[in-house]
Amino acid sequence: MIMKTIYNHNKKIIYTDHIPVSITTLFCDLIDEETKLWAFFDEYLEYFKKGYKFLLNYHAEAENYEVLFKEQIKVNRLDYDVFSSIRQYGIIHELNNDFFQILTASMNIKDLTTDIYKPHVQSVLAMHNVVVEIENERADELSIEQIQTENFTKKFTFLNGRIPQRFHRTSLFTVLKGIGILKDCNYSFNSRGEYNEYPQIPFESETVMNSDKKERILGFGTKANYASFCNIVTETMWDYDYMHHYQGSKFISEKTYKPMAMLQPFVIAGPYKHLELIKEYGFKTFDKWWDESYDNEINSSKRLGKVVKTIISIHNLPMDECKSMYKDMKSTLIHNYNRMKDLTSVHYPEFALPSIYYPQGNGIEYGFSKQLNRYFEYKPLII
Amino acid sequence: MSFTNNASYEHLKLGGNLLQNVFINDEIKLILIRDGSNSLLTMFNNHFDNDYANFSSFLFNFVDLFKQNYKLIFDCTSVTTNEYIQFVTGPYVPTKLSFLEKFNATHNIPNDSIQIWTSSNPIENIEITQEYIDNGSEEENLKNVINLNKRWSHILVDKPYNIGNLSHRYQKEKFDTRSKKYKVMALFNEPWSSVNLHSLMVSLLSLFESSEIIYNFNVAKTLKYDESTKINDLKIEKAPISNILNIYNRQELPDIHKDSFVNLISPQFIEDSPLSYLSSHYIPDEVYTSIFNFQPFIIVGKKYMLKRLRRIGFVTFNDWWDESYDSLEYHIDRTAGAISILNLISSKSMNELNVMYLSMKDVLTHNFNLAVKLQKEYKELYNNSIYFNPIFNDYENYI
Repeated sequence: MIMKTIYNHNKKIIYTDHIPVSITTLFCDLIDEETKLWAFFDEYLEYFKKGYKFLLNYHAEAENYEVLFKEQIKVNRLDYDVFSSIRQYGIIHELNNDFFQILTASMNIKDLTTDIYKPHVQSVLAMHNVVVEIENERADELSIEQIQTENFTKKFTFLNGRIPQRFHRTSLFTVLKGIGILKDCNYSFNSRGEYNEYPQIPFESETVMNSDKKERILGFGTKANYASFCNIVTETMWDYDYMHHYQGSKFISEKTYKPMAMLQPFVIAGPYKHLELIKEYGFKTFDKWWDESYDNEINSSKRLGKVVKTIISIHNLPMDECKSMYKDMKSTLIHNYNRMKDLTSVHYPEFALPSIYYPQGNGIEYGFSKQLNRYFEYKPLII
Repeated sequence: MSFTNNASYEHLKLGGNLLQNVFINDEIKLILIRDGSNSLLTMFNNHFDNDYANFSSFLFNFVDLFKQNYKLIFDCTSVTTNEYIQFVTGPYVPTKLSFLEKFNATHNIPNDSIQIWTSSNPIENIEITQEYIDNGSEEENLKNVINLNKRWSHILVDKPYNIGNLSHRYQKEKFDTRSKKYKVMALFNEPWSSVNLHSLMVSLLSLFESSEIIYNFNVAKTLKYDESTKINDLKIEKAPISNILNIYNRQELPDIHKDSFVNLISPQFIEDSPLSYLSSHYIPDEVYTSIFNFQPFIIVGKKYMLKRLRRIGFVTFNDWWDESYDSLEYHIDRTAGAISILNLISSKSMNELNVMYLSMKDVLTHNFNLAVKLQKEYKELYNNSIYFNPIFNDYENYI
């Protein structure tokens, strides 16, 4: 399959679908020389000269690109300074300094990037699939009554796709299994099968496989979420030191937004002060109903221990009490849902959405980059 | 043990290499070569320079003894790496084993005249399923190991003598009926670098009150993350650093063992790839330390770690909690099994645990006695030997 680029002639932007490889792979392994990068730019030079911008869409992650590129140069995996090279190209061809931008879900990426390179990065909330769900599936019909607490068959939903570099997921999974809470979860683990030494436990694979295309792309287990009381979120980020190139990023991944979209309360195994970050964006959390002091624990191991304690306390509640608690949370859950919609209009531009939602016509035109498509066969990204 | 050269063996020409530790036990007809902290691989690489002529000229000293049915033992029981794996994956591998084969054939001596003893190699006791072979990412190496096992089982001998390295003062310990202060003790090294240790650490932190456990999560003090992740507050809890370092240096720290109901033990790396599954399957020193202190233990190790202990003759604790996790394929499942035991222990009062402890007396005493027996047995091998150290005076030049 070919990865599409979408031309929005009205706004003079050209953007890609979410690229199917990481930024590291793209620049270290594929476009691994400055000449290749410039050949890719040359493809769009006539548009750049007319004031178009090219947006490379990689907003599922929140890497600090400057740190990332420097790290890769240091370990001799990258031979050229990507940002400097982009800038040079712009200067040589007298282009607008923001002619090429990499999208990222690091909400403070501008603060993390050196001034001269700031034009080459742009923040986008990592709401991708979640926003699609809200905008296209349920829209304004949603009400809390749609969620039948009688349908709660499990206390928790607990999804863990990727395992590499995410100790908090393997540890939390192992601990919850050991103390018997896993039995009360709709769960997945290592569902991408990236590590052979772990069991691969896909989440409701049959349901997902039998669902329609849109649902597969969404792929976030709507039914299971509705059938459980609370969502145990294992965020992408946990401890900065495990993932240096995320250093300093303020990142709320789609994993946190999903339960909000599903009107679920959540316990989050995430970075220090992650709940505080969520609150900064106007969301509410659940300290009225259970202990969220884990968020203030800077020591990552102790923090995970406190997360487990909170999960145990919820697990120990009778289901009837959970159902009653859920009804009590109604205003908070709806607030979060609405807040997501509000944020979407501000922080989630149309170019972050998958192209299947943007039919051609009215200034929208499909294309594809010969250079980019030389490097990878496009596969739809399921986060 | 004699520390002087014996006249009857004065013809031996052992100089010129680093095999300074040659012991001859005439009583049981063993020639023991103890290479201390070096692995067998180092021994072959450095001492024989991977040269058959060097190897042969050294062993030629013992041909007469081999004909009298003496066995020469490369004693690698103190080394916790797996000698099989070293042989299979290391450089010059086929050469090393063919040295032994060639030497036996050349001199027409029994094919088990030269043996390698290791405490980390129970391959012959472990079921290697077809599934492991089919799924193995290191399939070729695994096949080599299996073939090697078949071919060399008379030479590569499993001896759980790493117990011999522990302090012999442990043998004076007694069953102690004092009430326990802590439910669990745990001394981990860098739990931030392995999933099993990390999960166990999180379990301890979440299932127990801090007053119920005693732990140290940075025993070796080599923690790289220490400075970068600002987790200093986890480095030492309660146990004074001097004591912790003592135990790591294999000196006693009996009070922690005596004051804690159970010792939670897990080696750092217990991944389940086929080769790692077969490698380093030794009983960690911490297990023996617990046994010498009449202390129950929970081990999260490679598959069949408890089975291995039982094969040696120790009794484990299946009568008190479920140890079936020992045979589970995935290490996270084995770790989860151990965590369910921790969950059980956390639910019991200290009084209940004290009662449980007393009910374990027979098992703990049996284990202690067996550990003492093994330790003595190992010590006597050497105590009853004549000791050669032909280049002792030059030793300093070699280190």
